[in-house]
Amino acid sequence: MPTDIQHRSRVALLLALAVLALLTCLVALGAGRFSIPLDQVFLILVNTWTPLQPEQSWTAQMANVVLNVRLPRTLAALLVGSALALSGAVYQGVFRNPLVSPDLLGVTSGACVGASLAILAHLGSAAVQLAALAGGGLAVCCSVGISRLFRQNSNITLVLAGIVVAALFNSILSLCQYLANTYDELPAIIFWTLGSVANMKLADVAAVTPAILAATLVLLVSRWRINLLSLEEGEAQTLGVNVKRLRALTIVCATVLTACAVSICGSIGWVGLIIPHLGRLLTGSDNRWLLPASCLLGGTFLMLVDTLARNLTASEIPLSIITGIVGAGLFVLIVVKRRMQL
Amino acid sequence: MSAPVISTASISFAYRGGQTVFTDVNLTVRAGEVLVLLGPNGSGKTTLLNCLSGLLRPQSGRIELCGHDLRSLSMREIALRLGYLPQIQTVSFEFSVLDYTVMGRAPHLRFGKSPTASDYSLAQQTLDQLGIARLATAPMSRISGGERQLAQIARVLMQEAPLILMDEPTNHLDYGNQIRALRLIQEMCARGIAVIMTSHVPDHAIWLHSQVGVIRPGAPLVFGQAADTLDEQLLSELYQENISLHYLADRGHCICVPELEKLENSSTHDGREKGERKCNEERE
Repeated sequence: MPTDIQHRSRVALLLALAVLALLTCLVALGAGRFSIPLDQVFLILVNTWTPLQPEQSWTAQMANVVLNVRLPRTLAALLVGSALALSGAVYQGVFRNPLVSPDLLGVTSGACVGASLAILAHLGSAAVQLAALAGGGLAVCCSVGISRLFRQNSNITLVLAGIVVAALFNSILSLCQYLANTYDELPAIIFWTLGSVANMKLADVAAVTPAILAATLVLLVSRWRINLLSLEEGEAQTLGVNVKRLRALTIVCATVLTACAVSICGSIGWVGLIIPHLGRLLTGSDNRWLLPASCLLGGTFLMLVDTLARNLTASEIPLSIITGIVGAGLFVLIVVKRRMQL
Repeated sequence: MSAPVISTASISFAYRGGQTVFTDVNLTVRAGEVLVLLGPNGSGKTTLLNCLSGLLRPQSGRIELCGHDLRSLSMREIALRLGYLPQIQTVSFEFSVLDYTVMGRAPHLRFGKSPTASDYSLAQQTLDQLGIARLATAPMSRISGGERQLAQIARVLMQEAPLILMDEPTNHLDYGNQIRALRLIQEMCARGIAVIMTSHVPDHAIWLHSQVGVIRPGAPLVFGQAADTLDEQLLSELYQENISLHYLADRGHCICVPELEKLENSSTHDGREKGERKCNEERE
């Protein structure tokens, strides 16, 4: 049966993407100004994480670079990339619009404002993260609140409210930048709004991991049901789906993913828009396959981008600059590819 | 007689702040029966279907679905007993026909469960029955209107509900596909499924030997057997046109014949000349 073959080929595809993600992870840990061979990286990880004790063929400096310098930022890139891509895929499905990205409800603008205010107040990095999370949450609450004022429960009012809130918070962000002193505050704000995983500590990653894993788990478990949200609302209801509850659940989970991602490494554009499209090209629109594929692709993509960010030039390039350049090209390619198929 | 699958007791509905759509509707449909709802555009046929399916709540009256008060059933419990084929068909992403069909299993699957291999083979079987098995992997967006209609019917059949509501199932179909859609409805009835459908063609009710519910603005619903209920006076009043019923002796039922003035040959000739003259004038 052709559907059986399709099923098996999609399982194979997901496995291949998982292997690709692992390989990218090894490359990201090895590549850099202090280059470490992949087999050494692998042995260092095996030595640290498993009871196996391979014969030590690496130096302490190598282990230090892999475990303390590169591992936190690579893990952060993996986590944030997959969170943003998953969140984007879910948003596109729920809002039935392929041009939607996870910052639709203003979560990114809100987080930027929160972080900027914390930077202006010269608070520590943990406080900046908390402020970003709070700002993102506040912006989404504003969007939902404003859409309620329209007294019409539909996706469009939510989109409209999101646009209004994003515009408002972007103005506040501009005000913060205008008021910031140009020596240390302004560069910090700008660096933050362009996103980076530099100077990441394992503790930072660990702080958001539980929330990201929980939201990811809920979305992956309900991924077939998210398909039903792409039907006409009444049609989904006659299939026994509580559309309002399911939509609220998925939007909350997707927003938690984005907010957590943005709070640890600043706003990173394009991943949430472009990766689901790439995924759809590989697996089709069925969220049973699209959501896990987007997760794996997003993580792989951001690990690659981070590797480029720290190797292209002598100083770090903010992630959004690279995701923007790569993303724009990739997007055109995808559009051309999809049109050819029509 | 079997117990009714659905019955209503004097339900009425009005949109918030708007006019009353219908009042005092009483109807009963049993297993294997068809009810065709007839009425002019905007008379509230779809609104009635939406009430029967629980999407809208009537202001007064009571609806019983398989012996349960509709209001006491959850969305999922309703979906296990009633399938609804809406008129507007939009699929925003490119789901394959099979993936779309299998969505009909939703009421049978608890939250967090995905359809199993047996759900997929049931979907494949259903598509096979409807003669569109070859389209299983085709995207919904790239099949014809008639095929999409069949895919929708397949999806509704997957619910395995004893009652199916269809909003204008013959809409947008060519003449052959309309006939095939009616035959499909007959087959569903033969399997014991009750069907309530809306139509703009009174002949559909006559062909299906169904019950009819005639909705006229500002008048109570007329409910009964098509053969007994539909007469020339009712039809003419309903559609504001002179409609006559002609008995087909060899088929044993009537057909509707609208009254159109037969244009005389000479007059069409005149008309053609007039048109040509106008055309020439414009050219000059």
